[in-house]
Amino acid sequence: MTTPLVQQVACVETIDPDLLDRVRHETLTIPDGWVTEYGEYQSGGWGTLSLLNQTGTATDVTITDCEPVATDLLAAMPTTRQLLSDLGLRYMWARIARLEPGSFLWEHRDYGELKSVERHRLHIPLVTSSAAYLVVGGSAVHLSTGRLWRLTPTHAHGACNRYGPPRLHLILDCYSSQELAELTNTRHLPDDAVRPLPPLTDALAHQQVTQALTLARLGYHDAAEQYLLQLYFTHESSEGQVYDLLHDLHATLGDTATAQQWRHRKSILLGTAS
Amino acid sequence: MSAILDAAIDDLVLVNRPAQIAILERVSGLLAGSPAVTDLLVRGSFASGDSDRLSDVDLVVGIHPPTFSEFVGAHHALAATQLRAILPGWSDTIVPSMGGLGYVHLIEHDGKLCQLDLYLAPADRIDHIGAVTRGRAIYTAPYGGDRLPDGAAAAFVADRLAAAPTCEQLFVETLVLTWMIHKRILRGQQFMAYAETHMLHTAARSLIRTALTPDRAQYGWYHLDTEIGRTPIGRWCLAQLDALITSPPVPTMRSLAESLERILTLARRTVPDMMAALGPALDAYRYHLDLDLDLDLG
Repeated sequence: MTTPLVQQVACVETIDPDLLDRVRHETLTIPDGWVTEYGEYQSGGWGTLSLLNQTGTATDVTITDCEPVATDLLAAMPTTRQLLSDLGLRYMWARIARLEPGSFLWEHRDYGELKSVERHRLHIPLVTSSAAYLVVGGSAVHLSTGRLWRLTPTHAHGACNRYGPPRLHLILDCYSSQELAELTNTRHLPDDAVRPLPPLTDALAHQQVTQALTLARLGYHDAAEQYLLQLYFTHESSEGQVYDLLHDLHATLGDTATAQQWRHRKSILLGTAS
Repeated sequence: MSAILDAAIDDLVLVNRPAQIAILERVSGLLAGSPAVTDLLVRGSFASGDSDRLSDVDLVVGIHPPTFSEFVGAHHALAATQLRAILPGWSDTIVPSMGGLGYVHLIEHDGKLCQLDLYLAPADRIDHIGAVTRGRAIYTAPYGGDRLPDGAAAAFVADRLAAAPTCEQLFVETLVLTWMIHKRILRGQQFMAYAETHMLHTAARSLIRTALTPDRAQYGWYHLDTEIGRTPIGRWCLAQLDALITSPPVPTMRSLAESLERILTLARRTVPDMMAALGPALDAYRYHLDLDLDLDLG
């Protein structure tokens, strides 16, 4: 049975615009030093810095279950620190995430490597545009600013910022608590946030693989792979379908080792590896 | 002392390096990765030494003739996935005919939008193009490549040049022209701004014709009133076109912003599906163009 979209991603609260302005200012004026992690999940261009984590060092960004402490970075961001405190949630990890133009987090599931306890992810968009959106359940969902959004990342999803400007979000991973339950009690999806994607039919998929084959035969192997991976962000596809197309691409090119790698990668990204 | 001075100047040159050089490196590095690419020539202001910070990057790409049509067909996907082109490439109708096909891409680079002009040509045309454009060769394939003329490639070029543009191509043309006019205004080049503004109006007219009477698209300005103005939507389009052609012939930033808004409104009404599909790209284009004036078009 398909999970309703609103259970996968939803708007749960509005944020005071003046407060948001100050948080945005802090986020835009902190030093560079974004850390690229989870390389196998992304095209490049996804960087994070931790605000609350296990070690207190902002550049430690591989999330794990912990009782987090404030990082050196959060200490320099008093308004953001106050916002996190006022929300009163039981945090597991808090991050600032920057997604550069032309960047993609491929279709994946999160939390698979963590303990099996209930946890939720909240997004607070700070800088975004319509070119930055999540793909969930075959729809493009734009998380607009001024709102707090809940994402259930154990459902397959992806994120992109196709054209810019850079997207900046606060991402809060939280354990379940009474405060979180109250905060997320009423959730909805604004009509203007959701754009259903056209289906990736067999005929269209075949056509796209043919185009990717042309790119590969011209010597542009990375472009061929990116071309197929990006279909997830332009078309409604079945779970893991684009990874199967990658497998087919390399199998057709006679590269069975790379074809098998994509099978393996699919199982890792979608959390189906045994 | 002199060595220290030289190093300091070198550092300054490095930090003030034009973005176009980085684009040139990125694009040429990508294109040269294909055995189908035989030559890369830089032409235009960068080749002649007249460039400024707003200059576009002009590249001639020589292609192994038997793979020419395949390369042309695939290069849009290449630009979108590897060069961060925000729109489909515009089939350049300004570039002189030199035996190949010109495309203009608007690409995102380091937070800014930049214009990349690619002239794709069968390798047998490269010597001629190099001589005509005074292009500077920056890459030649080590194996030399096949440079014998290919009738199929020449026929492909002729077919493409003769094909009527689609609504999407015409709409992208208006966006590229608006981008170019914006640059002319910033540089104070009023004569080029005037010429390109006329082209912008012509492209808007062709968009209306192609959207509403595609079989009569080639008739240009003739019989617009009688052919387009028969229906309410046609009369509304002609009113928008009238407002465009009676705007200042040498545009200001404000009049350019108004023209762009009119064209966007026109396209939304006449080709809504295309506009819906281009939505995020258009938002990015407007963000980069930064013409966000407080407009009231009535």
